[in-house]
Amino acid sequence: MFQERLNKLFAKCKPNIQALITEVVMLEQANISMSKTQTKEKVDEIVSRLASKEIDNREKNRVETRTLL
Amino acid sequence: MIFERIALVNFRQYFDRQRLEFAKDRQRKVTVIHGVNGAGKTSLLRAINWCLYGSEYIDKVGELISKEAISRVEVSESVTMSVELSFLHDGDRYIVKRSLRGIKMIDANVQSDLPDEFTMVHMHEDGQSEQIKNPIGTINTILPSNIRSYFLFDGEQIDEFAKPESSKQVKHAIYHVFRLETLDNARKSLEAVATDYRRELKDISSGELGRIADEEQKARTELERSENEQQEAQEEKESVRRKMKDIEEQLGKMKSTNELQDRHDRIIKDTKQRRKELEDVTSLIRDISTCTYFSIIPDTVKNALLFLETKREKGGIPANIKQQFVRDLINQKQCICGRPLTENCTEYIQLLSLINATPLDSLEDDVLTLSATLRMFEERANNQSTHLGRQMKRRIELLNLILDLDTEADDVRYRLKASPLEEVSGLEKQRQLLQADMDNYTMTLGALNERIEKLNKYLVQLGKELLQAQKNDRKQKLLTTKLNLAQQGADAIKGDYQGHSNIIRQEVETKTKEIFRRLSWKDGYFQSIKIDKDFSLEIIDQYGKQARPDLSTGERQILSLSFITAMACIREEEAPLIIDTPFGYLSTEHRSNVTKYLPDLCDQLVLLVTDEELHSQARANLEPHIGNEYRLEFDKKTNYTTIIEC
Repeated sequence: MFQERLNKLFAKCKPNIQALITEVVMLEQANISMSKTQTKEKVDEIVSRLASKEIDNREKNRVETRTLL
Repeated sequence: MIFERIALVNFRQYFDRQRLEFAKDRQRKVTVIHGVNGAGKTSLLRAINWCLYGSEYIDKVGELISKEAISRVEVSESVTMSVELSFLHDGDRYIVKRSLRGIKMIDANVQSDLPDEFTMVHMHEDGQSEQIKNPIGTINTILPSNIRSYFLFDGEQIDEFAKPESSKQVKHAIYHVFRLETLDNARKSLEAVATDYRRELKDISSGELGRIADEEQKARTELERSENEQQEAQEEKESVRRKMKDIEEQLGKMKSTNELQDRHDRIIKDTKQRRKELEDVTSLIRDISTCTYFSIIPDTVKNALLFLETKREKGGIPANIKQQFVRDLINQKQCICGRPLTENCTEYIQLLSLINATPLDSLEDDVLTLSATLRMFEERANNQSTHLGRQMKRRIELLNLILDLDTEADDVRYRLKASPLEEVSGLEKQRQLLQADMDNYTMTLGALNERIEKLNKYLVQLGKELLQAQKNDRKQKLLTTKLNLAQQGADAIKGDYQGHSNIIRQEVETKTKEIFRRLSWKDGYFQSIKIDKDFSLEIIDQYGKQARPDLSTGERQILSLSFITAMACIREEEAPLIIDTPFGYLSTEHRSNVTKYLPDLCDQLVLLVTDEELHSQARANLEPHIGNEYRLEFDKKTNYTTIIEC
């Protein structure tokens, strides 16, 4: 439910940003009682994972475009 | 979250295992649990809190364990207390269980030797179960610990939202219930990691890869050029070496010619040397011949010496008799033989005449000197003549020698006339030129080898640097993407946060107003309810005045309840509303309204009530919604409570 609300709230964002916000917010929610340092490390993991995925996608698109050309 | 059931084992008044089922039907969502004061209504609320959120809710663990259970064990024996809660969330079933073991001490107190154990199991529809690795995080996602007080609360203490200093609590309630805190934390975390990425990016030199790549390209071009030059030089050197070998072979075949040439060269050299010697001898002879007086000296000297000898023999120049000697004889009047010399004697007269006849001493000396000089001239003239003779002889010898060498040279030339002397010389010249070329190529190759070696070493170093820079570049690319993502995420939250917050505030305000109008019996008296931008909850009366300071405790409770249920409605996340002693301060009218409307305002309602709280109209209002009903029976003899289904 909360996730749906988040998606609605950030519907105008790009899918990757939307995914990032949802993951980080859910993480923050789960770690509401934990220290910020622990949360920050996990946020870094999320951002790193999504960034790597984005780079891979970009590379894939570039290769496909080159192939088409 | 919708509770299904709870099982308590040795929790406070609940000795052994006690359990109850919560009503969860949409029509009959109310669970009523009756109990007198001290029967265990609040303990039940605490059991739910402890089970879900742990010891942060509980001060003394020993107080939680059933005293009856403790009394039944010996000292040093342990008693296990646990609360197990089953609930539904988003269609999934979960079971959470928290247990704690206490050891009975001598003084009958209980100490826990281990921390409590918390487990959470996700039950799948097919009957399979899965233990959740992060139960605390999962619970916080479902019903966060910081909002539990808005869902699990003591009804007699919920009027705080309506108190004058309530704006902070109202703000916190909205902030937590609508997870604005979480959104804000997410934004802060994203900004924090973005700051870190920015710092990391700054540390990585952005143009390093490009610079190294350029350097490597330059080095590789230079290496290729040097290697080409090296190959060319090696080929040229090899070509020269081959040419030299050919020439040397040709020259080797012309050995005899070389010997003849060598002989010719030696003759020419000898001839040149002899000619130089002849020039010297001729020059010497010329010098000797220039002194012509030497040729006439011998006769002249002889004549002069003869003349002087004759004069002396004739007494013209008495040899070796000095005038003084004669004078001494006359003066002594005695001859050297001892005979006396008298003045008239013949010898005496002769001595006197001799004094007159003897020349002066200086003349005699001059004559003697002249004679010696003349003899020396005579000797030197003789020597000079001999030397001249020898040089003349040498000159003749040299002339003859040169003549012989010229003859021999002519002979060699004659013999070489037919030999390929010029060709040999040309070959030799070529060979020398080629040798010079070889030396140049050797030097060039040496320099090129050194350069290639340096370039290769440099390329190895650049390779390492490039690898590192590529790593950095990949890292930079990743960091840039991470930074953009994190910053865009933080910006998106920041951009939507304020608007979202205002919308929620307004929605809560509207809903609170709506609920309050239903619950309050003074329907027309209160004109409006406002939640200001500073989150203060204000109630305006029909005169347009702030009525909050004048509200009674019951009215404040109703206002707070309206606010809480409004949040629960807007939150759109299923959650139970568990109220301990909900109607304690409420008048009959308010009780009636609350029992009438509250079941429709929440997803699940659990009321922990005294018998006095729920009677007549209130009871009648709730009746259609009651799904389950229990009575907490406290046995004064055993001092524990039994949950009895009504």
